[in-house]
Amino acid sequence: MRVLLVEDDEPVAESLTRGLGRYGFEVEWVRTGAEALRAGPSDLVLVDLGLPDMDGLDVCRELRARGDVPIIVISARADETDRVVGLEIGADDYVSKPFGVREVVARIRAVMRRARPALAQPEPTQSSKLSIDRRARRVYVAGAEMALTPKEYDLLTFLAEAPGAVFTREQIMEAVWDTNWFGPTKTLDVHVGALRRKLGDSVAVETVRGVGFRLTLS
Amino acid sequence: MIRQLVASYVLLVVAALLGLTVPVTITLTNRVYADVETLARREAQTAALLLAADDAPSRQNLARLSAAYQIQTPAKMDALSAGRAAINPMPLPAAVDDEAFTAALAGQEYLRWEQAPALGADGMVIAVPATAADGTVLGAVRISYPLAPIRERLWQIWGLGAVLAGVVLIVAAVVGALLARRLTRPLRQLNDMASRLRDGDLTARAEETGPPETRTLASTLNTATETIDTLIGSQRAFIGDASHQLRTPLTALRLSLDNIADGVDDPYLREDVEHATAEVVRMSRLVNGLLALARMEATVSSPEPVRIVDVVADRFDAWRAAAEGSGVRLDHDIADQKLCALASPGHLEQVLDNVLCNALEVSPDRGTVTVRTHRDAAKAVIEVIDQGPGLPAADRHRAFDRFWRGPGLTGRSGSGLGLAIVKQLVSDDGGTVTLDAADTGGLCVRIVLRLA
Repeated sequence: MRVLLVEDDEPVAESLTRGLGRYGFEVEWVRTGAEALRAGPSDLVLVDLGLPDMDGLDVCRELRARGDVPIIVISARADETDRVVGLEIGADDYVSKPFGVREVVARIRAVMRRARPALAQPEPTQSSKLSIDRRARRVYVAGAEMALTPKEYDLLTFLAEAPGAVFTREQIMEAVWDTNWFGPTKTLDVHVGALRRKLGDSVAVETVRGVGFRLTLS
Repeated sequence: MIRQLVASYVLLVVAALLGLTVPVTITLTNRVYADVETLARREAQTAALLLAADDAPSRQNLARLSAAYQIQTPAKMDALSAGRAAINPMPLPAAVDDEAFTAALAGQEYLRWEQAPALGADGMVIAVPATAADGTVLGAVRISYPLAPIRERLWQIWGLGAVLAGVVLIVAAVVGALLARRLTRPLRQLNDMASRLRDGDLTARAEETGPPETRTLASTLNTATETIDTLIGSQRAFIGDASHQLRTPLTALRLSLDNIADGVDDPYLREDVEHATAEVVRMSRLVNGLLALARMEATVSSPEPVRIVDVVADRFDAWRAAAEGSGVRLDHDIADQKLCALASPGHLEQVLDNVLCNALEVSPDRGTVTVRTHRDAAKAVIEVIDQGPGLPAADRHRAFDRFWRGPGLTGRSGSGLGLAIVKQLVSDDGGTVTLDAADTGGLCVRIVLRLA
C-alpha cells in the first residue's frame, strides 16, 4: 500500500518512513505542499500542517477537490480549531504530535477500513479467542458474543488495530473520544476496567506504566 | 455618578432657596403683624379723637365708625367712658375691667398679643385713651383684632413659598439630570469600550472626544489596549512556535524509540526502550500542560452565565463510573437550584474535572466526595470536599504552584500542573480558588465565582 507522507521535518519523516516500512507500507516522502500536489497517486496521504511553502490545510483542500484519497492530518498544533477545520475540509482523521509508529499504523488501518474496505489489510485480530465483526460492530470472545457499550467497542477496536503496541493515553483519547483535551484521563481507566472485566483472561488490556495501554492476545 | 451630580445640583438649589426665601418670609411675617398693629392704632386713635370731642354728633360718628370698622375687618372696636360706662349709642363693651381699658383710662396706650376678651379668642388687643385738650382722660377705645385671619394669611405666604421652592427644585433636578448625562457621556463611551475589552475584543478603541480629562483617559486606555494586543499577539505566536518546536523533536524521538523496540528481541533492551518511551511521553505531557497553561494566559476570557447545577450534574455523569469503580460516592449538596456563575465556556467543566480527579484519587474506599454549591455575599461558591488525608497548611498554599506535586499517588504520576491550571482558569473568569481543611479531615477546594 502506497502512503504519501508530506512532512518538512527530516528526522520525523525518516523515522516514520522506516517505521511504516516495517509494517508493510510503501512510503513516498515529500517536504513541501507543492511537491505533494505534484506527486503520483497514492492510497493514503499523511499531511503535516506546518509546511514551509503553504498551509497543510490548503494541501488537504486541494487533494480532496481532486479525489477521495483518504487523508490523515498530522500536526504539532494541538489547537482544537485546527482539528475541526481539518476534519471539516475533508481530512479523514487527525493525529497530534507526538505519536508513535504503531499509533499511526493503527490510525491508518482504521481510516483505510472505513474509507476503502476493499484495500484494507486483513483483520489483525482474528485470533482463536477474539474476533471482531466491524461491519456489525460485534465482538466475539471464544465464539460467544460479548455485549459492549459503544465506547468500549471503539476502545477495543482501536487497541486491536495493533495488538501488542503501546498506545499513549493522549492518543487513545484522541482516537476514541475525538478530543485532544489536556487533563485527567480517568474516563479512560474506567472503560479499560470495564473491558478487562468483560474480556476475562482471553484478552488482556495491559497498563504500561507512565505511558498508556496495550492489547495482548494470549 | 449621574445620581451624585443631580444630588449636588439639588443640594445647591436647596441651600440657595433656604438662604433667600427664609429671611424674606420671616420679614414678610413681621410686616404682616406690624401692618395690623399700625392700622389698628390709627383707627383707635381716630376713634379716640371722636370720643374726646365729647358731643352727641361725634358719638354718633364714633358709633358709625365702629360699625363700619367691624364690617370691613374681622376686628371689634369698643369704646368706654372714663366712668367705665357705655358710650351712647354704643353698647357696653365686654370685659370693661380688663388690663387694656384700665391702662388706657390711666392715660397709657396698651398693645398686646393675647387672649382678647372681646373676641373670646387669641388676637391683638390695642387700647388708646381719649384725651381732652386739657389732658383729662374722657374714655378709652379698644380694638381687638383676631389672630386666626392673620395666621391664615401667613399660612398662605409660607405655602406659596413652599410650592415655589418645590417647583424650582424639580426644575433644578431635571436640568441637573440632563446636564449630568451630558457630562458623563464620554465616560459611558469609555465604559462601553472597556466592556468590549473585558469581553476579549482587543480591537476595541475609545473615541478621543469630549473634555480634555476624558480625552486623555481615552487616549491612555487606547495605548494600554494597544500594548495588551501586542503582548497577547506575541504570546500567542510564541505558543504556536513553542508548540511546533518542542513537539516535533519529541515525535522524532518517539518514532526512533518505536523503531528500536520493533527491531530488538532482547527483553532487557526492550524494557530499557520502554522506559525511554515512558520518559518521552512524560516530557510530552509536560509540554502539553505548559502549553495549555500558556494558551490560557494568552486568551482573553469572555465569561457567560453558567448554571452550576447543570455543570456539576454533567461532570458527575462523566465521573460516576470512575467513582463507582473505586467505591466512592459522589454527592451534590445544592442550596440554590438556580445559582448561576460567570464562567467561560468549558472552564468550569475543566476545573471540576481536575479537582474531582484529585478528590477521587485520595478518597478512601466507601468514602464520599461532596460538591456543595451555595450563594455567599453576592458570589457563587462551589466547594469540593473529600475524605482523604488532607494537606498540611504549608502545602495548601504551595499546591497551586507549577510543578508542585502532592505526597500521594497523584503527585508521583501527575505533571504537577493540574491545580496551576485550575487556578489560571478560575482567575481568568474573575474568581478565586483556595484550599481549606474540611471538617471531614480531608481537603476542601473552594471555588468562588462571580454571580451571573
